[in-house]
Amino acid sequence: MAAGDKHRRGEIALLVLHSLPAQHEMYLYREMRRRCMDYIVSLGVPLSDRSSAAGELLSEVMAKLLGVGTSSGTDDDLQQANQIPQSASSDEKPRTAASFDISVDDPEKDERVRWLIQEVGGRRALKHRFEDIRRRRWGRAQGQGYRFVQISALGNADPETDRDEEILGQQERRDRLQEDHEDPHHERDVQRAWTGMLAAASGRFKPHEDVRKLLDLLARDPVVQAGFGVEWPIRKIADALNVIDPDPPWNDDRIENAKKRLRTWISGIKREYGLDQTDLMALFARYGRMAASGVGGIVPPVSELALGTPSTKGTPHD
Amino acid sequence: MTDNRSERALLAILALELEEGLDKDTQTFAEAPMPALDARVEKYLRAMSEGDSDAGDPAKARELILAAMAKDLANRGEGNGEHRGSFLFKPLARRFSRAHKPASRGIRQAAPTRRTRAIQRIGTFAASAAAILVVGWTGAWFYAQHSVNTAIAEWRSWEDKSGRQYSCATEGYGGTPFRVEMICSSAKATIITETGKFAAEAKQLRVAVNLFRPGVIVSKVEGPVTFAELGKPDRIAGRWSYAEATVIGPRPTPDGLSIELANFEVDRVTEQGTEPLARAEHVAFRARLDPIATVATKKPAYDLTSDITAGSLPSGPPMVARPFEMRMKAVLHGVGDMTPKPLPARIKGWQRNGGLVEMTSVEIRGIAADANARGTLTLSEQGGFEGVLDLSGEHYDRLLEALTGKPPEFATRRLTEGATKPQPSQTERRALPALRFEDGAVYFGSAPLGRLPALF
Repeated sequence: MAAGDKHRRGEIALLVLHSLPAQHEMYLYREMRRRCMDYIVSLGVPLSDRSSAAGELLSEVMAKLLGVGTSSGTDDDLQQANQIPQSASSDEKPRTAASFDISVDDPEKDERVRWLIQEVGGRRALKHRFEDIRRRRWGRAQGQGYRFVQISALGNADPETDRDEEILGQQERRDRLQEDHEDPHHERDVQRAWTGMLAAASGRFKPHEDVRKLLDLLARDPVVQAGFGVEWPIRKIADALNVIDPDPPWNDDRIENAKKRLRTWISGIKREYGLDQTDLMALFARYGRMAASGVGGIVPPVSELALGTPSTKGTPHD
Repeated sequence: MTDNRSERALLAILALELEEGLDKDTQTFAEAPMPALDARVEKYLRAMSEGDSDAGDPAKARELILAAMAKDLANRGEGNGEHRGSFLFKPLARRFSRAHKPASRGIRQAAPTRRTRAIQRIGTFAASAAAILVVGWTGAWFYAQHSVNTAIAEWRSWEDKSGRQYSCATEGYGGTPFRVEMICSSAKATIITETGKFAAEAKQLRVAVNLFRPGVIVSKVEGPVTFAELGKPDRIAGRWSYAEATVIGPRPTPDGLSIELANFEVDRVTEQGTEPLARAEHVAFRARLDPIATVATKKPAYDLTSDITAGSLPSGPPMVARPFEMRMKAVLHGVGDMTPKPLPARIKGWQRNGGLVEMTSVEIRGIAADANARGTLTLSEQGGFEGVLDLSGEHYDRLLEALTGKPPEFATRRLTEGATKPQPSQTERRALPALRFEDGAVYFGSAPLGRLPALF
């Protein structure tokens, strides 16, 4: 199945879940928990560890199910979102939500529930989620199994956090010595959100595109940052960009066009994941943490390195 | 340091919202919103608590879902090229589908002339769409050709400053409609170093860029290729059935590089005759920017992998003189600046920059013996290899003979001078004396194997 199809199925699964009444939803969760336990038992996990392993697997399944957004806004996407595949086979034609056999009283007979259980609770799907857990903990399996780690590392539930802490730690310690802030974690979150936004933008926009250039400048240039108030400091941005990349020259229209594309992208992500401004900042912070530690195949933006040390990086105003 | 100014700018970006009527497509899509983050957190907690809505930590649930969203966002970023392409063609396809949509039965029976008009409309639409597509595509192709020309000119200038000049007897372009391909026949490279002036010649060089993946440059070299010092009769001659090099994201530092060769043969041609130097059925080499090591060290680091099938170095040690297979994984650290400079100077800069190659896994499967190795290699100030590779392998005696070319008794005697005496005829996998490199000299334990040439 192509990645795009897989993603659409994920979107549809979330929409189906969202459409279920409370009774159906609880039945689905119970059934999912049972299937997770059955899967763990089939792996021969010791009795004492089964409950926690099944809980962890269910958590992974739910996080995956709840963490999808919609595809970019096109008419086709809307059409796809209103269609639900009949079964796991991609060869069969999708059908509309209206053609589902819905049973209001008995969740077991409700085809939406049955389809959802098959989609996210099938043995293959559980195997993938279980592999996700193992990869997060041990890395990708190679020819002779998973990589070896020091015993001391086994206590770390989230190695990516440690990696990230290590990278950002030095800079933060230096910063704390210079200035006493009320909430150092908030400052770190802002830093990560910038990193995450740049990394996400690098997956969406090419380096030569004006949006990328604009974002890189806003991330790095303290003088431009200081100009933000009720309005964007368009004049300052143009001046700064004309110093960095003068050919062709930047003017208000060019910046407005880049800003318009940025607006479309930002508001698209908010809508697709159901996020507000604060949630989006948290999402980018999380993305930045993953980018810094190379988790999930996310590559940090080139400018991320400079973002970590703004005081030493030359800016057009230096 | 992150301060209020940085946060203010960030929040200004995150506050961007579409204005009313600004984007019709996305406004329409907004009519079917996805569940908000709070609703997702609530569902997660319900699933995990088995009906007890108070159980669970909402903050942890929020973090988990945000992490899943971040991965989802990253996966979508990877598929952007495909998405953009489909975005281009979808409106046309939809229009065409509407044109094909059959009229209702009643209308079909009552109005045959409408059908004729509909067919005419379809024809007109198809013709105009095809014309627009051809004109647009041609424009895009010529623009891409201009970009490739510019990139090649910049690359030539960069190479020129590095002491390498390239020329072609004739140049041409092809590859339409989906690629731009520069064809250079009788390609010639002149390389100037401190030790002399060298020339390399190839029958043909093709450099291609796919319009859908403009950041990836693929070049194919057609043999035979010769390499010789100017004014000297001896030369190195290479032939292969297939040779391709791919550079991903060429500037400022490449994201990746891969080289693939098939049926590869290299000989030294002298007045006395032809001496085979290397043979391989298949050679693959790949370097890829390692994001973790790059961020951690703030210097580009590359993951290296190499795969050789049915390779042989006839004049090398016995183990590789006959066909062998090799797999290697390593990490290249200390890659410095990318300013143009000759290759020896670049290698010297790398050495001074603390450059090292971390060999994480090397497997050699030969006819006589197998061996695994891991360790670290650097360069000495004189350009010779330095470092230690820890070896392990089966058939100890055979490996010993394959590396040293001496009978096991002799080699064992040399090896065990001052070391624990190995048991004869061991067949189990075990640690062996290390392969040591000291300023280019190579030792297996204490037995000298030979000397590798200095790199600068």
